[in-house]
Amino acid sequence: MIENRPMVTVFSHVVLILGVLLVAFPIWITFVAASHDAIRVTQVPLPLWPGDQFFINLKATLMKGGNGAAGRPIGLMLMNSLVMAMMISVGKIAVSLLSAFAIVYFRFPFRMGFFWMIFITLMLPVEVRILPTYEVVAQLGMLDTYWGLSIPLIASATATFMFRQTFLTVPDELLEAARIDGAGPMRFFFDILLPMSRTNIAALFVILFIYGWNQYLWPLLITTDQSMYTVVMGIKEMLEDAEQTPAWHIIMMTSLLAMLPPVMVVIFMQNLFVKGLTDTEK
Amino acid sequence: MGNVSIHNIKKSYGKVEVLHGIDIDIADGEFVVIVGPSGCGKSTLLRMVAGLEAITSGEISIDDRIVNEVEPKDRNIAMVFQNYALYPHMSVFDNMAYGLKLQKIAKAEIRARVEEVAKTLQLGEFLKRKPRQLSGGQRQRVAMGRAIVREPSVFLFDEPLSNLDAKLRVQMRLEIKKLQRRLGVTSLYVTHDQIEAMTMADRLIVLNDGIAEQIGTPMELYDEPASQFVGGFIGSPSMNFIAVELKNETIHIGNTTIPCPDHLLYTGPAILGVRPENFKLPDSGFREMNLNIDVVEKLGADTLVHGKISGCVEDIVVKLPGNVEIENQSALRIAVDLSKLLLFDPGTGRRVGRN
Repeated sequence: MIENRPMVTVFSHVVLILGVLLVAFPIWITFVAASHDAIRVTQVPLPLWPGDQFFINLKATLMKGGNGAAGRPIGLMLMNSLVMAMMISVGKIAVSLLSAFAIVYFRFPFRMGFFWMIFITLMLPVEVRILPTYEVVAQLGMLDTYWGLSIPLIASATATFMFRQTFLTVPDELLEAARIDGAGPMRFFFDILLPMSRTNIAALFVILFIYGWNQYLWPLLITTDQSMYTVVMGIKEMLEDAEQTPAWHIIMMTSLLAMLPPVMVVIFMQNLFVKGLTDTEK
Repeated sequence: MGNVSIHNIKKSYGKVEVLHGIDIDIADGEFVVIVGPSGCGKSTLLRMVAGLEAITSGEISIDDRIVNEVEPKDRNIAMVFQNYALYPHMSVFDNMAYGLKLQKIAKAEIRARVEEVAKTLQLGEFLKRKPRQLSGGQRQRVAMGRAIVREPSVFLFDEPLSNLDAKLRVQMRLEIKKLQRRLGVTSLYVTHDQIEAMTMADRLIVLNDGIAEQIGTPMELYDEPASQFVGGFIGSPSMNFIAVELKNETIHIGNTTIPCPDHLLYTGPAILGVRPENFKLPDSGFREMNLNIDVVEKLGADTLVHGKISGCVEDIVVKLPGNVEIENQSALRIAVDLSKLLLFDPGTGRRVGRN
């Protein structure tokens, strides 16, 4: 489409730039606050330009952490978050791939029944089933473990459904060709289905990694051991030191660090991500 | 080696029977084409030979071994699909080598076999490419190559040319035929295109509604169709059918009467089958009739005249030489070659009156 209406162009640019500023400003403030010392951050007006304490704060955050009870090095929390997010996304993808494979390619009793059972769990996110889930995890002795952090979040109807749709678009002839070539079901899965879905897997990984990383309520509930804290809940803990003023510069630095991994994942997997959501070539 | 025998094969989906008992013995090295309109069960039959579709009843044997319960991979067959079914993420080489790899054949041998086949199919320079980087004709050749490297005893083709444009189709059909001759591998080829069927087949099976209407060489089917369906299906433009009445050794066509030739022995109403090329301009030895012209198509080599014989309701096509002068006239005197007339039963459509 060819358009030649300069006012529209100017207007849409203004709107877009305003939008970007609106989104970027809080992040800028976070960055600025993380680069000043504790005293300057609490003074009014808030600084709008970065200070010179960035690397000092960075070192303090990583080595020492915030004030008070939650004053622990951030490194471990980042590690916990990373392990949890990876376990959730890899686990979800593996389970969903296999269940979608079963539902699409195998004929077994109550196949559609199982599909709908999986599908209905869409209506039961963690928040809804939090009490029974807690009970089960506690009974299994998985409180304060990585397993407890990740397993309840792994079952995923969304991903199963998405892979089902992907598999349904794979032409039947490919399966037949593979059968004539002598590939059994698992061979077909690993040699043909998996490579053909790799962009979808990548897209899903990005979404799930961020989902896992951002988990707050569940880790808050099942971790009591501070060495199992994740960074997202760590930030909240830092705010709640009863006797002391919150160390805003450290908190902001932690926030910045907490933002970093999801951003990296998006940046590095952007190409695959977009392809996975838009690619129709099979 | 390489003979296929199909014995009283039936296929039902639930209560619906789609194949009603097909019988054919295919000799080693024979090229058999299964032809029929869409929905006649021809692909189903092929897929049953491939082992992709369960057999409801009957027996299929390949290499003198009953294969009803044998997995596709153990039937010693190779199949070329309509949409080629190439693995999109694998290179041409890997596509062709995949089956061999699964057979645990040594790497060096796989390489040698694939490269040799690629050379005969002129695919040598494309071995590293992905299927999406190839044209339709090249993909088609890769699909062929994947079948050939397996060195099967039977090739199965499921409408392999229907995704190609007309020109390429003509070229590929020649290539497939030549290749099959050279390799001498038994082939079963499904198509709905009667020209493809006529040109490629050693023998044809015409399927209609799950029944083999006729099995025979292309010229047998062309000259001696067993039913009105086969007569109408084989040949282009297709055979004309005119309702006629036979009385006292004459044939009443509309308001014209022609003598009944010796090879027809029948009385009563019937369907007369005449191929468009068996009409001529009036000449000695033929009986003339009047044709009311609707449309004249000049094809260069031939002229097709569409119209109705006076007194008849059926539209017919008459094929005349290209140099015939037909001016703006509404009618034409034409004659028919009496020795080529065929008769069919108006009810069942079977051939009748063969003397």
